[in-house]
Order: sequence, then structure tokens, then C-alpha cells
Amino acid sequence: MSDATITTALTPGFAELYHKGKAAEFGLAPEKFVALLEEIASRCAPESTQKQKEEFCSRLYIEDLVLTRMCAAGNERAWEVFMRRFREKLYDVGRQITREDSAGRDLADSVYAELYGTRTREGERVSKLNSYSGRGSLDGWLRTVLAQEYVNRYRRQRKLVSLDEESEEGTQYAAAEPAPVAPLDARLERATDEALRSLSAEDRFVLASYFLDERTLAQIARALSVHESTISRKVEKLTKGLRKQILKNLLKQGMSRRQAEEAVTADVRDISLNIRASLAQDSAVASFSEKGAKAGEGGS
Amino acid sequence: MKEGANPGMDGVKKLVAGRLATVTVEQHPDADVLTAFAEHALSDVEREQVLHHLGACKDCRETLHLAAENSPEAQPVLSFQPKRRPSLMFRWGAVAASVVIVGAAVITRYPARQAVQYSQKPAAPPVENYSKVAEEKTPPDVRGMRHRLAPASTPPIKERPAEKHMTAKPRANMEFDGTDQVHVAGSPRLDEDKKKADQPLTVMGRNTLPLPAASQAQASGQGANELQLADKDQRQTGADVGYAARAAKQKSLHGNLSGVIQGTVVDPSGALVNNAKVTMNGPVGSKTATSDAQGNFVFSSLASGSYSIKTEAAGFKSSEIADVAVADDKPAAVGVRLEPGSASETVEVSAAAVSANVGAAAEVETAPARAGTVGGPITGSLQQNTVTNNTPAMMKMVSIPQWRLSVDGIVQRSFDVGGSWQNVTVSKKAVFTVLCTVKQHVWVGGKGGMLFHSVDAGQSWQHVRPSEANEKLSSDVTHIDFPDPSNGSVSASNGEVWRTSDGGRIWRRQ
Repeated sequence: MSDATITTALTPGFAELYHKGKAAEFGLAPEKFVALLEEIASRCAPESTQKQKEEFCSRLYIEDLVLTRMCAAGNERAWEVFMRRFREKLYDVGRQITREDSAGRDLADSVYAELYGTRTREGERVSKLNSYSGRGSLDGWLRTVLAQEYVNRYRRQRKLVSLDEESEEGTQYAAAEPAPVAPLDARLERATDEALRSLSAEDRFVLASYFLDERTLAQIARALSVHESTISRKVEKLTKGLRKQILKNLLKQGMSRRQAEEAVTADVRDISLNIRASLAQDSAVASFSEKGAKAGEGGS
Repeated sequence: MKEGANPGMDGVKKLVAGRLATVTVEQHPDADVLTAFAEHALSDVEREQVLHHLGACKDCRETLHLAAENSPEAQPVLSFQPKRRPSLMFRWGAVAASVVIVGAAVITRYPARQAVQYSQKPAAPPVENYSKVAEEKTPPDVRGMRHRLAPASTPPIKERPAEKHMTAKPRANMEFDGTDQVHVAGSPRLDEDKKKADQPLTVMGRNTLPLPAASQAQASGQGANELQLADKDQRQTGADVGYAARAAKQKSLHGNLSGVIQGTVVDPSGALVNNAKVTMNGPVGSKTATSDAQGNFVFSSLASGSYSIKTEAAGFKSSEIADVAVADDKPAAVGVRLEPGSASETVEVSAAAVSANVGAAAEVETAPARAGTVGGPITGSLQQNTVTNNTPAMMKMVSIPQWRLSVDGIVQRSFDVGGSWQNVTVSKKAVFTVLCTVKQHVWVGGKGGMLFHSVDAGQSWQHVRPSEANEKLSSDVTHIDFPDPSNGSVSASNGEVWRTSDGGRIWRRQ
């Protein structure tokens, strides 16, 4: 397709994206390209102006997006490129997640089948690649899909395996099981819950990862793309702040200063355990993006 | 304890399991949202929603951590948010200043040792000529002389006369402004240096001697070789003579147009940026140059006055430095650091150049790779006389690059968590199909047994050719796996697996 044809069919912004995404190389028509971007922009950035949509689209991993959509459409050239880039990577990540060669390959094969689309709907293959929007990298998306599949498998398997069998088989789940929590004074529990509720979402995520999942500072830092020392300081600050707030809440509930101090300082582990329990009890607010709510696409 | 409840340990386990089981989340973010979250591609509102969910959903936290653990970019990423945390920046700045001062003290106290280390470790520019070092840039005749005079060129430490100014104390007043530029204000010691322009200046353990006018004329007429012999100071290096000869030649050719601007282009990590387009505007009009493999560029034949320097490179924001002062016979040194982003965005900074004396210019000419390398070895003289944009690296925390291969098999890296990607030239011939990173090490492989390795996050690359008993890797590389920098394996399309346990020096075929 000539440049002139593309220019007339697309706005300048989309024409640049069309070129950047190498859509012509895979035979994606400009009209379909525009429709694809419009669909993604409408889904991920609804109620935005045309200019905002173009700006949103310019931030997409457009090359990866075109590749996945053309793979989903059955384009042989696209699959060739996809396989060259990701075939081994899928196996690598599978092995790294499962920490076992055959299980890793099995996991990767299973995800690959989903990517290819083994199910059909109205005569067309349903490929999971269609759910990739290009907001994150394709590489990262594939890792996440594999990780979700692994967690799902574990969850399905867990329903079928007794706790005894599970302990005999050893740790399958990367996160440590939470330590036992000693029942606490109801007032202390309430005070802790109240203190936790005042935290920001990120703070709660950090505490849940650290106290509940027993993730390392480095792992949490990686998930939030910050330095490990930032998380270290945050945990320290949060713990101190929580202690103060819990004391304050206990005083409000009629405890004397000494009683409150004793309740909190009697066994520091109780406090941390109580934080764990409170975090675990919290229920998530179902306020996700529409896409997240789509059945079948939600992974975990 | 809870009133009336005192279960044993088993009871507690069941209680905890039960409470964990009560965490029911109806809607989970899909892989797309989680990936965008992990890569900071969500809007603030969406990010807050995801964080809220993650705080309560163990499965999604697990997914996030599992995916992040296995990412090639699972290297420490340092956060940099100076606007929100100014106090932190100053704290880091103080730490950085301490490190620089201590480093300078150590280096200047042991310059001879540092010089040896430098000569052993090449500047390692990208592309295949990675083995090129600064020394190779000097003319062959000068290099020959340097070798002949090598024993004398390394004076015994006890004979070094420069201990007095080889201290950590800066000789000029350095000021850091909001644009990360360093301004050097005049200082008594700097002025003193100017007065002593004819005195030997110690550079990296060597004494350099600015040539008198007669010698310069001789240099232009008879060449550097004779100049070297005419100079009685046997410790003078060939590079110094080479620069002096070139400077003299320039002067004789251009008369008053003897000003020079030279500089180095680096990226936020301090990696040298080659092929950057540098445009100079000033009294003599506009000129354009391209940074070389060491990130260096030079504009010569300039009249004295004020110039602006604009630098552009693919994958980076344009940088414009205004009011670079150029004086006759005093090369102005400019350090340009490019920030990742679109070329349409321009970062304007104030003047970053200062007049440097000939000794400093000679240092830049001799060892260009060091001039703009953030965090690289800093010599006493370089710190004193040359201002580059190497604002203390720790003041400007940057991320370690992420890596990927493009559809065309080109190695690409990103410094902004995947926001923008720049091509990295590893080999002009090879098409790469597999990539593996571990810490600062990057391995890429492709067709025909092509295998390249970088030990410094892509600043330099080595062509690795695994071989054992006349057998060598020649088939397409299909898989590279390095769990750690030393141990790894490379699989080929013919089924061969090559393993190394020493970072790629020795290979075993299986």
C-alpha cells in the first residue's frame, strides 16, 4: 500500500502509528487499524476526546498490538514473528514459574493453546491474544498470563488435594502460608482494623505483601518499580504509624495509657499477626474496569 | 485474648485458613491491566483501583509477583521522584557529593595505579569496535614514542610533585543548579592555575607541559615526533604533543578562529551516546557534528563568543544548552546528558561550558571516554578543569535499562520502564532472536551462531564464540539461559547445548 493511500486513509497521528506498528507488513488495512485503535481507546479511555484518544494510542505498544491482533486473525507471517520472538521465552518463563522443566513446558503449552485459540465462536477461533490491548509490553503480558494460569491451576488443584497431601508434596505455592494468628483482645482488634482502614491502597498492598505473603522487600519494590530501600522505609514508617494509631484508638476505647501500651507492646508479634488477620479479612471492592469484569478474561 | 476463645494451635490454623478463605473478590484485573500496572502504564485512577484490589487479593498479588520475578527487567529499578521528595534528593545529593569527594581523594592519591587500571580496561564503546581505546586514537608515531618512553612515563610515586593539589578538595567552586548543570565559579586556586599556564600540569600521574610558541610552530612545521624529542621533559606523553601539534596547526590555519567546543553525550545511565546530532549556533554561524563511538563531538575554528549547543538523538529528548562561552585558545568543554523521551521534547539548560586550559583539553582528547561518563573514574585534573554534565549520579537516580528484541531482531533498551525504546547497535550484520539478561549482563543470540555479551548493561559488547576441541557454535542460537552472571547455557537449533560456568570464557558442548 502506498504512503499516499495511507495518508489519505488515516489522520497524521494514526498514519505515524500505522507505520510504527508495521501494520502494512502484516497486511492490516488502515481502516481496520483505525477501528482497532478506536475500540481499544474507547474501552480503556472512555469519555475522552479524539485528541486524548490519539495521545492514548500513541503510548500503546503499537508494534506488539498489531502483531497480536494479526496472530489472532491467523496471519502466518505474524505467527512466524511471534514464534521467533516468544516461543522459547514462553518455555523459559514457564520453567521459571514452576521451577520444573516438564511442568514449565506443560504450562507454556497450555497457554500457547489459549493464545492460538482452540475454541471457536461463530466459526472463528477465539484467541486470547485478542485481549491484549498494548498498554503494557507483550513480553510482560505473556509473563502475566503464564503466572495467572499457574495460580489458577494451583487454585483448581488445591480444591482437589487435601491439606495433608499438600504438605507431603511440599510447597507448591510461592507465597508462604500465613502464620497462625492468636485471637486478640476485641478492643485491640478493632483498634487495629480502624488503623488499617486509614491507610492508602498502596500502603495496604505493601503491608499485605510484607506481612501476609511474606514477600521480601526486593520483591515488593520490584512490583512497585521503586527501590528496595523505599519499601524498607515505608514498612518501618507504616509500622510505627500504625502502632501510634492503635494506641490512640485503644485510648479512645477507654483503656488507660498503661493498659494500651501493655496491650501493644506485650508481644509485638501479636500486633503484626493482627495486621495480617485484618488485611486478610478485608474484602476487595469490586470497582474494576469494565474489561476486568469480562468473564473468561480475568485470570486469577 | 478474645473472651471465651482459647483454641489450640490447630484451631488457630483452621481459624486463619477460614478467615483467608473469606476473602472473596468477584472481579479480578485481567492480565492486560496487571501488566499495565506493573509497567506503570495505568492512569492514576486505575492504578489506585488495582492497588486497592491487590491489597485484598492474594491471588492477584501472587500473579503480579510471579510475573515480575521472571521479567528480564527484574533488576533493581531505582525510583526518582525529585519533585515530590525534594528532601530525599538533597539527601542523595549529599551522599553523592561525599562519594565523589572520597573517590576523588582516593583516585588522586593513587593516580599511577588508576592510570594502569584505565589502560587495562578499554573504554568499550558499542558496536564491534569495542576494543578501541583512547590510546589507539593517537597517531602511530606518537604511540610508538609513548611505548619507547614508557618506563620513564610512569614516574615513581615518591617523585610525583603534585601531591599538594592531589586532594579531594575541589579547586573550583562547583555549583549545582536546577538543570543539573555544574557551574564552576572562579576560585583562587583556579586563577592560580591560569597564571601558571606555563608550568607543568599533572594529569593522571603524568606531567604535561603546554608548549611554548616556538615549539608550537615547530610542531606545525616538523611534526609531533620531533616535537617530542625537542621537549626535554621525558615524562610528557605523546598524546599531549599530539594535541598541542593539532592546536598549533589549527591556530596557524585559522588565525583568530581558534576557539573549540568539545563535549561528550551521555544518557541518564552515563552510557555514551553515539550518532547524536549536535548542532552549534553562534558568531560563526551554524555547524553540525555527530557524536562518535565514544559519544564525543568537537567544533573547531570558532571565533570567541557565546554559542548554543543543541543535541538530538533517537529515543531521547532534544537538549539545548545556551550561552556556551568560547574564548580563543581555550577549548570549552560541554557535557550533554540526554533524557529519554520524544525528540520533539526539548530540555533547555543553562550554559554548561567553561573555559578550560590546554591541559584539560589534552586530557579530554587523550581519554575521551572518561570525559562524560557519569560515575566513571574521575581524575583530579579532570574534576578541576573540565566541567561535564556528570552531575553526581546519585542525585539523579536512573533506572537500569529494560531490554527487548524488536520484530526485526534489533536489540532495544528502555530507560523509562518501557515508555520509549532505543535501538542498540550490537552487530550490524546479525539478526537476533533470543535475549537474556541477568543483572548488568546482557546476552543476545541469533542466526549462524551469533552470540554477543555485554557485561555493562549494553555499553560495550563482545562477540562470543563458544568452541571446544575444534568444534564451535555455528547453528542458530535458539535459547540462552543465565540464572546468574557466571553460569549459563546456550542452545542451538542443531540440538547442541553449550554451557559455561565462568561467564562465557570457557564453554563445554553437550
